[in-house]
Amino acid sequence: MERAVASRDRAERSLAKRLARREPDALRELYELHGRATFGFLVRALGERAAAEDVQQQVFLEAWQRGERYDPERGGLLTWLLQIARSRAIDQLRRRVPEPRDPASTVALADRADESTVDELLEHWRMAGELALLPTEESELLRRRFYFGQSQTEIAAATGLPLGTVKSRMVSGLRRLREALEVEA
Amino acid sequence: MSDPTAYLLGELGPAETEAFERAMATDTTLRDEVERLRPVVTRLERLPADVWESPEPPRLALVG
Repeated sequence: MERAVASRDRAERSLAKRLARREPDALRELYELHGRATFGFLVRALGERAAAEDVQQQVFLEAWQRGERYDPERGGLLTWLLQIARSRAIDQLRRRVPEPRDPASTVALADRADESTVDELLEHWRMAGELALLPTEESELLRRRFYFGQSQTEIAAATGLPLGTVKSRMVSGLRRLREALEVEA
Repeated sequence: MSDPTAYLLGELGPAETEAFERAMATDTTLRDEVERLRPVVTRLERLPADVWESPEPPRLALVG
């Protein structure tokens, strides 16, 4: 497991270096890896797909322009991208506050309470991003357990995998997530 | 055999749970493993359904 995390860490650092050198393939790879998590976060934070699509492009443009400022010591690329997405989402929400014709009906969309909602969303989507980086056979079992609510015995019956394999993949997926979240902490 | 995932996922019956907890009380490695994985299980249990149904992101305009 330590080896798996170290290997992922090396891959991240290499991708970050390529991004800093503005290699177009690096941006494409970054998008493949993390675009789904940032977009999911943006759709939920902004409440509409069209706005989320615009902001998603802004987030990756910013990552492209500021790639050399990414510091791996401060967290992974997923966390960095989600932080950019958070800032741009809050900008967008602030811009949306309507002209106060009737001040009583004006919703302060970017006050502290809304920021904490945004932060909660961010944590959910960081987990989604980490899940997406797991080996498919592990993320699939976690999906079955935590989304479909299947027990390990039910998963074994549904997939035809031996129960021992289900258990070992389950624990391996949980350990990998734990390691990833520790690196990010 | 001690089975930390079944315990963490709440899949053990009362007698098995009790036996597992007795085993944890004397086996620090097992206890450490459970304590390490417990927060991950809690976070996964709290994930809203839409996180598992993430929408397809648009094409990235920058790279065509």
